[in-house]
Amino acid sequence: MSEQTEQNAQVEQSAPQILTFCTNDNAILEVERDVAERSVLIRHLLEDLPASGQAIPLQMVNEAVMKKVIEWCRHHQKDPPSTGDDDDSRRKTTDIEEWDQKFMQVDQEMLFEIILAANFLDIKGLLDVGCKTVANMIKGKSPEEIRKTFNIQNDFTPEEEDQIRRENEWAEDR
Amino acid sequence: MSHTMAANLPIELIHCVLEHVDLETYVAARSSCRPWRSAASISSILRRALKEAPLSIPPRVELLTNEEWNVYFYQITHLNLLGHRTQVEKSELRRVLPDDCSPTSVLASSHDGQTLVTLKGTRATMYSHPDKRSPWEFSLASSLYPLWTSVCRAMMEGGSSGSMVLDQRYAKHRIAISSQGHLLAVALGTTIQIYNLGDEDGIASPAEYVLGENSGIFSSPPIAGYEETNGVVESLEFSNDDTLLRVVIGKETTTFQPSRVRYLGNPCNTPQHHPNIQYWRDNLNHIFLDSVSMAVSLGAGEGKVILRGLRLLSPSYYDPKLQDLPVDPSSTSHYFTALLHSEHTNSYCIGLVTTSPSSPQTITITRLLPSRQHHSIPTHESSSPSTPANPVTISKDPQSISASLQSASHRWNPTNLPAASTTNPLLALSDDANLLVVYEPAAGPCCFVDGGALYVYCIKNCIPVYTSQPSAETNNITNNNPPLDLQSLTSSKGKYPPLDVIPSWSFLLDVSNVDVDDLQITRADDGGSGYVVSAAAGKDIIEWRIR
Repeated sequence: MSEQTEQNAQVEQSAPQILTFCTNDNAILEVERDVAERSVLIRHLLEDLPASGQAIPLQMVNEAVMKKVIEWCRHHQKDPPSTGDDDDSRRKTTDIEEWDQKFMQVDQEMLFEIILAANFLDIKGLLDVGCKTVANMIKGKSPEEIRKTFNIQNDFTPEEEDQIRRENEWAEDR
Repeated sequence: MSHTMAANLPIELIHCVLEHVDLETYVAARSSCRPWRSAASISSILRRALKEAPLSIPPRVELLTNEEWNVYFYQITHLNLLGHRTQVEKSELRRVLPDDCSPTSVLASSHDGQTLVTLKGTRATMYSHPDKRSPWEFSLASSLYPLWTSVCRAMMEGGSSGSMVLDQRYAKHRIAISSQGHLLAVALGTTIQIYNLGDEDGIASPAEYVLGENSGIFSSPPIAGYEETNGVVESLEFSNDDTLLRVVIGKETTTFQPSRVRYLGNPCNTPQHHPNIQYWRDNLNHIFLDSVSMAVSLGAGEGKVILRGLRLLSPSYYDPKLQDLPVDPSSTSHYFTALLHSEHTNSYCIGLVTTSPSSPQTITITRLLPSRQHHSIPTHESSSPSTPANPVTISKDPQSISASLQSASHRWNPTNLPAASTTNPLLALSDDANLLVVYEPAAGPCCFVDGGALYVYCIKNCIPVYTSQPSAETNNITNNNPPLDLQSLTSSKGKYPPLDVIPSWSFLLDVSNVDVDDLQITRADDGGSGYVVSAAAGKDIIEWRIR
């Protein structure tokens, strides 16, 4: 065992195995360290900062969303870490495993909050599942149906609208 | 609230979502709101999205400007009809027919629907009003019918097998009305007649032409290897402002069996206004084009070539690649589409035929459209025996049809392209030469007997902003299908062109569980944009509105 590895092992042994987080609505949540470390942000934070025993503030996430994130991390605790080099065919697939599908059966506000939290906390697996869920919601839909699905306002200016109309016309020359 | 969240996702998260959508959804998402459009218009993201499609894309983002990437994306979207497949409305109608029409009545209506003709025995009945009242009728000229001796012979031949049936080759009338509703073409067996409905002389003395009597005058003399037809008329249709009569001839037993298409008429001799009966008396025996003659010209020097379902394109079609070719003033050129069968090629094609009275016609295939079998791909076929293509199976069962359409959801799977191997496809063109619709009846031992599949191609031309270089990246087709080598797919010693830089992939419009007799595609006339594909199946009309 090298000196560096030995030091890391000592640090891990001395570090608390339960972490405390303070969400932006001031809720205090306790999470096992190896669950929380599904988040690359938290893992780096723990590596860089000395253990103080104080609650780690999460200004971007509220209690309800953080509980969902923890639930996902706990379920996927044993997953191998993502290598980040997925090929195109892997990325294009929108297959979601059954547990994740059920996990993502939430209202749209929560869905987007989870995606934002996954992005902030740098949890690639959760971000993928969230984005795939959104992709599946719009798959095969027309622009109008997509707007309806997400209650999006058609915010194009008349000029942009005209441009899009021309793009979608059949006989348009370019 | 969720509506602000979807639209206001950070751009990198919109990109994350777009990573997981297919190209058609990408096109739709791009048109849903400003933030999504902005996110989906970045060159690197466009390039990543286009990697799904089987075409050449620049190997590096910086080879095109952002504007050029957007134009290229737009061109690909257009030529592959992305975004239109999901907006198809299907309806089925029962034709409104006069009360005295039976299910076996032979009938035809003008394009505007104002004139309807039915045949009962030897009499033609004209219905000139939408309410189909106040009909008038006249007798067809007796020369349309075979001599009584022929009938007797046919009966004798039929009788030898114990039944009293006439020779089926001569059993069916075919009729067509001109676009103006003043000319009626009738065919029975090998005889074609054109009547002028506006005057007595035009009814009493129709223009007449008989197939296969070597009485036809070719606009360009056919070359060696041509065989005159011995078939019978299977359908008639006026075209090119009624200056041409398109005749489908079937039941041939020549080398080019079972069918061919022949255009009769001589547009160069067209009177100032619409062609009258005198025009047709003078020109009905003028063979403007014959698909067998064209195939023989095209196949000169190689193996057998066949053109099926030949159709002339409207004059509005143009090919920018051929605009600078020198033009012989004594010749005329016309673009056409057909199903091309040759030793290595089974594909729908666009071509240019140039005719001249003094020299044989020349045929140039300008485009090959993607098809399931397309060109032979010996390397891939031999190296990938474990990836057999699953053809679209035609079944009468609605659940099977639904399953077929569901399986066609993957846009770039070659099994969802036309097989292009049938001997009797129906082709229909929109008047603006933008769309080609193909109906392939079920054929072959693995399919059921009724029905067929309909496919829609965009055949519009454009000059791509990116022309692939030999080193450019060519995307493989997904779903474990053998990739098409787009650059090397020239065949027959370079006689046929490679696929376009942006190949126009068709989409599977529908699978019909009934036989389609006639196919048309027109612009939607209700003020909305789009097209209406109409298929006549017996007394029913099936319509697909594509927005």
